[in-house]
Amino acid sequence: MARFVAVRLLAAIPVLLGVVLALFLMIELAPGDPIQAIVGDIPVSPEFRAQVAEKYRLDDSIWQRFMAYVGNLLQGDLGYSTAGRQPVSDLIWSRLPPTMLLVGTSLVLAAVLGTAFGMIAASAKGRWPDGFINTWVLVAFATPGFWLGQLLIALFALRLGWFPTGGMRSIGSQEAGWAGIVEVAHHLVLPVVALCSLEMASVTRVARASSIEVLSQDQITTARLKGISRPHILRRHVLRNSLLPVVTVIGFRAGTALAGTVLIESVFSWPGMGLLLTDSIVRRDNQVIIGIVLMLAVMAVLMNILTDILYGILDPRIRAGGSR
Amino acid sequence: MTDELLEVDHLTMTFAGGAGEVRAVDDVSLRVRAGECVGVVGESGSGKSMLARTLLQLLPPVDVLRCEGSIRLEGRELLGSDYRSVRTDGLSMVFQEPLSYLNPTMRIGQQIAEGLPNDVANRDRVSAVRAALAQVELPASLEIERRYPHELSGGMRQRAMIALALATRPRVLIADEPTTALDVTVQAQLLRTLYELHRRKQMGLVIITHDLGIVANMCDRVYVMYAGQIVEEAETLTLFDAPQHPYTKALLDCRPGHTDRREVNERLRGPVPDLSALDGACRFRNRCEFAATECATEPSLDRIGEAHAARCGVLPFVGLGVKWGGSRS
Repeated sequence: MARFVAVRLLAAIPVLLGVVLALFLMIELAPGDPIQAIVGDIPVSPEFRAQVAEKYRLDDSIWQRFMAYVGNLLQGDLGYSTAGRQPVSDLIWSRLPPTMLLVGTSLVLAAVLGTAFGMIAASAKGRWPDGFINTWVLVAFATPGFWLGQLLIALFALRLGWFPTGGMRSIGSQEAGWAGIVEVAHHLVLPVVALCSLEMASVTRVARASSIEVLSQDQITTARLKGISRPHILRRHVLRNSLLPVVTVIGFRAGTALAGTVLIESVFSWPGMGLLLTDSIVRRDNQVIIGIVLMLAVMAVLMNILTDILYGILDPRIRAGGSR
Repeated sequence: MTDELLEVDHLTMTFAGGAGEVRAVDDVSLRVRAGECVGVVGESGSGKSMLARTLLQLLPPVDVLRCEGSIRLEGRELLGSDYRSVRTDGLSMVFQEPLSYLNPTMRIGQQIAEGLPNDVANRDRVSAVRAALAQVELPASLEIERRYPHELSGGMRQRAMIALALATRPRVLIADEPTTALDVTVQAQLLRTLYELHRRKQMGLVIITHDLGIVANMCDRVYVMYAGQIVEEAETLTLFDAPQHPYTKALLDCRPGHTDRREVNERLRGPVPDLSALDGACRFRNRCEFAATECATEPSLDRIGEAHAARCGVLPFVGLGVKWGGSRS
């Protein structure tokens, strides 16, 4: 198992290098002037421009800058934020926990509730709970997260006042311990709902299809033969056997959730990497952009490895076939 | 007869097929006594597996329109009762493909334990599972209970399947093509285990098969099925010596090594009737060498001797003194 993980981690290195290269090219192609963004929206002399370009090595070719960046990266240096006036890694580390909290909570909720709804729909196939869940899935699929987020704010924050409109803590709050956790959880509700709606819908759809498939298999006949109850059959036999496609979709939805968090964090002013990313794009703070996307790519790769490990845990046949 | 364990009378199962209602099991009556081994033979599509599933009510519920008739186990009517309790005490079944009928993600021991009756205390469950495996000749030293189905050979899997079926302590065990998926040497060993178990436990055993060799070796009595109906029932020796229904004779003549085999195959050419479009004639008429005008009406299952009945309007061999002894293998 350790060897398997090591191989997968090594295989991720070229992927991440590709991500960095693609980012360099895309930023190069994007309109806008990084020097102007650094000095601010004021007229500057050509000498000063040259000075700034010199300081941040903006006149080097893209290839030179790429090599320099990768060289620094290998030493754990993600570069320097021109707007934040601090190392990119410090910025990202400070923004990572809120994002992990938001994305992690959303994915866990999407996985657990989506699987449950999928199994309920499958076992009630063709009857009203199935129809209800299918309709909800369709609606959730058609609803963009950022729009849902604004609706949630309009209704639950502004009109009803049940939840705060944004942020992770109240302004000026010094709550710590249990009260602090409650405060963060209270702020977390709306962004999580907005972020996990789409993910939950896709998990539900896959879980439903997969459970229907398992329910039609011969092994379920054997379970019925043993005279065990239907809830028991669903829990002990259908759940585990239908979980492989569900794990696949969660691994792959983790990527879209990480992408979705960029917009959701902006909508809810959630102080995570997504908000930092949109801010950095506006400020043309290229090193931060690259650093964050790289970080998101690392998280996506890790989720994929986790998915593969979960496969082996869920299905003994895969465990036997893989390298140990 | 008081020692009859399973009494099935006029059992009919109708389901919604593509082209209307289909009676997959049509007016089937059968008896299984304690310690008796009964065979149900017929070609693919004759409804023998459907019969087994109807007896255990293990059919996909959405497709089945009705089950009529009566299934009594030790005098207790099963049709319409809570089938979960029937399956946990009285009737059980072994399937053809143990690999697909076992849960691939669960250890064999857990799967067997699930079938154990509720009165087995938790601390006795491990030993009960081991005992179930031991009686199908899977000794404790193999630690089968800790294996997953894919880690076992085909024969071991089928033994585990039998252990699983026996864990529910059935009075009658139905084995649906139990050895079809296995190679020949394993087949013989497995059948011997099954036979000895049923004798020792005085359990009723119903073997569903298309292999007449198995029937000849194991069964006391045989029911021959064709197109959802029983066309002949007889004691095994009688059936092999003097089959009365033309279909039974054709089946016997189809056995490997039989001289007329090619000719019989030629004769049996033609489709099994479409059960959704029956014309009220004898169902075997289109393939029967004795087909006559009488065959335009559906024959009834007529008793032609003690423990011998056949469903044929012509009964070509009755009274002719025809013996088919030469065809016994």
